[in-house]
Formats: sequence, C-alpha cells, structure tokens
Amino acid sequence: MFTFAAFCYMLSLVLCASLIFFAIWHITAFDELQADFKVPIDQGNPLHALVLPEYSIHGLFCIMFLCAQEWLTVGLNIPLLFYNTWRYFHSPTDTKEQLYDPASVMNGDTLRFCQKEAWCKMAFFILSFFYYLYCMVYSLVTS
Amino acid sequence: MSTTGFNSQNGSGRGQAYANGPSQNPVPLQPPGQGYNMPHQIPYNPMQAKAPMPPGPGLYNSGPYQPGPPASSYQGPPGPPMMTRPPMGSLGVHTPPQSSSPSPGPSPIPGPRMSPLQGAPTPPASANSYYPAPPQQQPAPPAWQYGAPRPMGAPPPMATPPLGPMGNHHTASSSPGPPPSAVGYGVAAPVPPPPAFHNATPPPGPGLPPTTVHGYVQRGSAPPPMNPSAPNTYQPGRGPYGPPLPGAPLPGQPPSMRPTPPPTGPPMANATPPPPPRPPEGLSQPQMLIVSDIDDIFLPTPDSLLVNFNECKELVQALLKSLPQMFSKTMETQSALGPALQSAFKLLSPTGGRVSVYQTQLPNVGVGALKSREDPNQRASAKDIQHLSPATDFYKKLALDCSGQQVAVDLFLLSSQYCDLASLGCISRYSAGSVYYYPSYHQEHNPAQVERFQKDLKRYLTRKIGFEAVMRIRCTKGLSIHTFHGNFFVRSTDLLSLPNVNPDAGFAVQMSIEENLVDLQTVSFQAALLYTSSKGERRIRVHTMCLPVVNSLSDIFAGADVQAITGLLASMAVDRSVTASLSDARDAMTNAAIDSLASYRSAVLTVQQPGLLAPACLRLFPLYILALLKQVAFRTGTSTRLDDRVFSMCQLKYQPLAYVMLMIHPALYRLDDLSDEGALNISERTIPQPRLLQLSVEKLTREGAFLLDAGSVLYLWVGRSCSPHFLSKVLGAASYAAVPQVMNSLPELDTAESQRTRAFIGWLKEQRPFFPLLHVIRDESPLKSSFMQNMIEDRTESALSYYEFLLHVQQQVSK
Repeated sequence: MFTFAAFCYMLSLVLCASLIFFAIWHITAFDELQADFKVPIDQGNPLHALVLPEYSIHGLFCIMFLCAQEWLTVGLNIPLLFYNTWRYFHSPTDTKEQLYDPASVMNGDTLRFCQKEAWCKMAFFILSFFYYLYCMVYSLVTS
Repeated sequence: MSTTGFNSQNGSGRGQAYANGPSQNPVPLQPPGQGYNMPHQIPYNPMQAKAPMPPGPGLYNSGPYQPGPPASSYQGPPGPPMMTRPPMGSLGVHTPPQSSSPSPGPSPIPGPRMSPLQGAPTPPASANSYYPAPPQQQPAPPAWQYGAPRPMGAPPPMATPPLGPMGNHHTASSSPGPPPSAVGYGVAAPVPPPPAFHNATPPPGPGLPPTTVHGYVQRGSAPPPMNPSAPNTYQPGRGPYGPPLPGAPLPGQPPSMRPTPPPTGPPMANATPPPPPRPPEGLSQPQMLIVSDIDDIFLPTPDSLLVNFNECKELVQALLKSLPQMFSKTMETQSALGPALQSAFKLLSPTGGRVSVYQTQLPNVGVGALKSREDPNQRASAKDIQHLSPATDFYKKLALDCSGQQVAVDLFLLSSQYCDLASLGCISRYSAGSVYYYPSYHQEHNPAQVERFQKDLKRYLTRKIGFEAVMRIRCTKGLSIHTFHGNFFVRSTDLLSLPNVNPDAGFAVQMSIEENLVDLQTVSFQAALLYTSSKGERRIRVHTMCLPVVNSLSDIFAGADVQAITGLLASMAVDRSVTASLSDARDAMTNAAIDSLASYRSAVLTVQQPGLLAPACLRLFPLYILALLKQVAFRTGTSTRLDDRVFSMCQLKYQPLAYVMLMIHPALYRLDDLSDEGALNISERTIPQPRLLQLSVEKLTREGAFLLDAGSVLYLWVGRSCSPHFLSKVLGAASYAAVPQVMNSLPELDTAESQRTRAFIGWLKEQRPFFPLLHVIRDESPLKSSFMQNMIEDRTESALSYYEFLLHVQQQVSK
C-alpha cells in the first residue's frame, strides 16, 4: 500500500543519492587540496555553495520522517542534525565561510579533520541509502 | 622544531646560536646576522658576476646596511644588519635600474619586478623628513592648483586629464613593478580626500566652481568626463618611459596613504570657493582624483596611476611636502580603509608589489568598516579575553586575493585609540606583510614614538626585499609538517606563498613523526625559498638542517633547545587563544612544562628524588613559561589594552626567534659599574659586556642604574640613591632630581663611563632591525610600572612568582 511513509522513503532515497554525491564531491575536493592540485582559495567556492543545500536536505528528511511517524529513522538522523547545526554555528572557520577557512585549511590538522568529516558523512549517507531502500520496500510490502 | 626566519643555524659553525640557558653573552643578543663576521661566509656578490649592468642610473646598491662594496650585494642570511647603521647621508639615492630593455612600446616588463622601493628613500637631506613638522611647511600654496590654505578638506580635483590615449598618462606598464608604497603617489599624488569620501566629482570645467566638501556629486561609476582645458601639452608619441608630460597633471589615487587629519579649522561655510581651475602648466603638480562611490570602488583611470618613481620623483616629493597641509583643516574624520585597499589591490594586480597602509583610526565607512568592540572595563579581567579573533572576514579575504596577485600589505598603526588590530592585522598576516604598531602616536606630544616611527620607516623602505616568493619546507620521509606559523598564506601542504619576503620575518613549523624512524640515522629538513630579488633576478635560497635520530628519551632531553621550544609554544598558544580561549592557551603552556618535566622524571631519571629535577637543557623552561604567562599577550588580571595584546601576539608569531626571546625574557644589566673586563672589541670600539641579571626586584638596588633590554624598548632605570658619579658622568645630571623626566637618549659626554655606556647601548641597538626606544626612567616615572612588569620572577596580585610557579609545577609533576 502506498502510504505516506512509503512516499517519504522514496523521496529520501532520491535525495540521499544527491547527498552521497555531495559527500563524494567533498572527498574529492579535499583530496585535491592535499595533493596540491588546487589552491584553497579556488577550491572553496563550489564547496561552500553545497553546504546549505546539504543541510537543508537533511533537515527535510528529519521533518518528513517526523511527519510520517517513523521514529526509528528520525532517531538515526537526529545526531547528524545536531552535528550540522553545531557546525553551522560553530564552524571552526570564519563567520561566513562554511566548511573551512582557506587561510588555515592547509594546516595538517584542519585538513585531516575535513577529510575525516567528508568520509564519515559519505559512509553515513550510503548506509542510510540502503536503510531507506529497505524501509521503503518494507513499508510498501507490509501494509 | 622551529625554523625561524632565515637565521636557522644549520650546524654551520655558528655554533649554539640559541644556547640553552643564560650565558655571559646573552644568547638573544647574539644577532643571527653576526654571521657576517664569520670567516667562512664569503661575501657573495652576484652583481659582479654579471657583465652588463642594466642601463640605469648607477649601480643598484642592494641595501644600505652592507658595509662596503664587497659585501654590498651579499645575499647572505638576511639577518639583522650586523654592522653599524650607515649614517643617514650615505643612503644616497638608490635608483633602480631602468628597465633593462627600454622597449618603445608600452609593453609591460615581464618577470623581474624591480623595486624602486630601494630608490624610494629621498635624498638624505629629507630622509628624516617624511613628516616634516608643520612649521616647516612652505607657505607657498601646495602643489594643488587651487591655492593653499583652504580650509576645505577635499581640494576639488584638478582638471582631470581626459581618459584614453591622451597623454600625461604614464602607462602603468611602463614602470616595472613600481613599489606600491610609493605608488599611490606615483606621480600624482593621489591622496584620497580626507579619509572618508572618495568622490568622483566631475572635473570642474573652467567655469564650474569646484565642489565643496559637502557638495560631492555622486557620479557613480561613470568616469569623469573630459575636461577640455586639460592637457594642452599632450604629446602623443610619448613612449611609456617618457618623463611625465608637461602640462597635463597626472591623476592619481593613492589609497595607500591614509592620513587622518584632526578636524580643525573653520567650518566649511566660511571657506572661500577656490578659484576656477587653471590649466595645468607642466607636470609640476600632483593631482588628486576623488572617487565617491565607495561601495563599488573603481580605478578612475586605467593607467597613469602607477608610475615609475624615478621619473616622477619631483612630483612625489612635492606631494609629500604638501600632504600635511592639504588636510590640516579638514572636517572629515571618517576612514574608508576597505574600499581604499580594494582600489590599491586593483591598481597593483597587474604587477604585484607592496602596499603600505598608515592608519590612525578605526575604519568606519564602507566595506570592512569596524566597530569599536573593546570594553575598557574588561581590560583587567581575570577571565577570558574576548574579541581576539577578527570581527569581519573582509580583510582576510582581501589578503588572500592580494596574495594571489603577489601583493603584500604592510600596516602601520599610528593610533591612540582602539583600532581593532585583530581584524586589521589579518590583511598583513595572510599577505606576508608586517604590522607596525605605535600606540599613542602623536607628532608633538610623543616625540619618542615619532622617532621610532621614522627609524622603522627608514628601515622598512631600505631593507632587502624579495618578491613573489614561495617557500617550501621539506623533510625526510616519515616526518610530516603540519602547521606553520608566521605571516604567509599556506597554498598547499608545504608550500607557503609569500608575496614579499623580508629579513625581519620569522617562521615556525610544527612537524610530527608519522612513521617509525628506526632505520634512519639522521633526518633532514630543507627550506627552499624561491624569490625575485630586488634586482629582478629569480633566485632560490636553500637551507638544510640535519638532525640525528636517537632512540632514547634521555638523548632527546639532552639535546633540547629550550628557546626554540618556547618560541614554538608561544606561537601555538597564540593560535589556541584565538581559536579556543586565552585561559586554554595559558593552561596548555603550563601543561607543556609539567608534561615535559614529568616525562623526564618518569622516563629518564632512574632514582626518584624529591624536588623538581630538570635536564640541563630545560632548566630554564619553567622560567620561560612563566615569562610567557606574564607576557602582554597572555596575561590576565593586569589591565592590558586589547590592541596591545593583539599586537604582542602578532609579534610572537612574526618575529625571528632571537627577538621573540628578548621580548619574552628581557635582559637586565647593571649599568653603573660597567668595566672593560671581558669587553668586546669591535671595529676599534670597546663594548663592555656586563653580566645578565635575574629579572627580579631583588637584583635591583637603589644605588644603581639598570638597563632592561626588552627588544623593542630599552629602559634605563635610575635608582633613587644612584651614585652622583654615574649621574654626572653618564647622564649629565648633577643630581638625581636633575635627571629629566623624559629622557630618550644619553648625552654624549667625554667621560669614559659615558663612552662605555653609549657603546654598550649602541651595540645593543644596532643588532636589531627595528629601532628600540630608550627610556631613562626615574623612580617616580609613569613608565616605572612597565619596567616593573618585566620583573617576571616576582609575584604580583595576579600572577605567581618564579618560586611559586616552580612549586606548582613540582606538585603537578609528582602527582
């Protein structure tokens, strides 16, 4: 039966694909920075443009699942939501720059942190992609 | 590991440049540049190796500090000049070679960007008179066409020369990389109308009354229309190197000078309207263009704002002479530093170079405007200090843009009030510039600061410089360098981009051990600097350092370099206090001392004895940490202005290690009993070498006179019962009461004691690239508190004494 939950899962499946894409972009970008292919100043611009869409998509997920009363899914997404909020307001960068500060990103510690963050996010999104897939099928089948 | 500046001692026989512990010749005082005296350093004179000299006016002396021709082009370690400072007169006029290929066409000179900077110092006569005292101003009207003593803030622009191919424009490309500092004034003198408004007033036609300060016509971004009366002496066929065309005034806009004249003078209403513009006669007068659109700043003319200094020297001098009068009666007190910097950046982007910003107040108009965020009541707060990080990103972003175009911005802060150095300093920090700070600068009330500024400016304009530099620091496989400290922009993992490199900068790096080093006997670090010298040659300078690899902790402790450790910790603490908090940084520093001594105790000492044991190399480590904790940058509980604190932090990160150590742990000498034993004999002068004393009031006595050498300032404290012998023979005062309250130099008396004292103090002063102020203070002088603040071993209301600190460390170590 096509319930609202199923619809949510389907939508989130699609959007999760885009989140994975963003995460892969981050990983590549930081890797390029580390391998000296790019300069931090130039690199920053596309990355900064991705930050808000990513956070808003993820926020949309949480809201959707809240409305669909899928508590388990919401519970899994809440930590990331908190992390995103913290990052937004307390970014270890400058006030308006999201994600990283070109002046200090090349310091080893910051770069490593950003890379780790990108990898973790990608892992999380891939796992949640499969989880949503499973839940979608489950909710379609059982009802 | 700390590679500071270019003074890194690569085991080059200089020996222990940074000896561990006090020595009779205190280490910080051994100038890194002392290498000049070392026999193995052969003066390398690259200029002699080349056959043809560039067809310029005279040989380009590579700097006024090298003594004599053989060493004149010695591109040795650009440490502080070791030899005596050349007398003013010997500066001569260093004219940069004209472009070596005087091409007829206006082709930009590729590659070498000459530095007419070195030619910038005006002839010795005026070397000291960058800011002539007002009485010296000639009564003649300044070079402005509208007559002199107008109380108007903004002289209306002269007949703006028409744009386009009309003459009087020096094509900017004609000057090979003119120095941005003189640029603004390239020829025309640009001075932006009183600090605030850049108005693009239309060039008044012959009959149009010039606009008053309040009558700015907002022109938006349309360039001012042509003035028919303007260039009647246009010579179209002029090559790019032609001297300024007579007749047409050159427009210019120098955002680099930013004087903020005090609001004096009669109100505008009483100003008589200036006469209508006269056609310019000869390029004898600099000209000013006013751009009023500060939100979208643009360059009013595409060229001829940036000119060759040598060709337009008279105009520049005329501008500098007339500058103080021009704005002496202005009523405008706002500063639009952001737009000015943007336009300077635009001006310099094609060629790169250097911008010097002289700022006397908080920029409060336009993009990058700052607010005063210091709370005077919080100065002495014992808790955290706020506002150590920049308020706005603007300066940092602009600095990064500048760095991309090889433009460095140096900041001179001459303000008596809060100027948010935390934000303004970013413009220099990331573009490899330097920050100079003169608190309470005032032309008349504070002559000591004025003198210091003069000397610093002279040094700034005449020191060696390298352009478009990149530095790469490599290390053996298995180690990695992950954090850099200093003024530069890190372009990639180990590549530092330095638009300007100068001998007064120091760098520090942190490395970590990634892999096991068991197979290696030594590890190497190599710093390679690729730069363009001031003669236009592209050079690489390489320093390599080899360190042995050991496998026992006791060897590590035996080879510890306590000064490098302290310097690096200071830089790390500055970073930590900006990103986290000041108290975090203070705790981290204390923990560093505790951890190192604890690990020494547990890992190295075989017999556990009570008490605090430290390896020989680190025996002064707690003292230096305590000194850091009481440093202006990190102290709490004592009233410290925010700008002072931020500047101290900048200096900790920027200066070479020798001067950082002097700043952290000043040197104290007793002066009233100088003798010639153990004196140095340098170029037939005998320089006494008194002993270093501990920094405690216990060592001070009323019967003596003591000299505290704190790097940028020297305090000569005269005790109340100082012997009249010293007073009369050295200070020239009959009694203690006759010693003047404000005394900044020692009189040149003919006595042996005076000569010794002056030789010693002169020797101290010569060794450093900046000019230290000498203050002779009596017991009741207001400077006494700053003198006493340097007594770090003593207890104060908010800080521990040395002994207490050691007890604290010992308690923590034995836990």
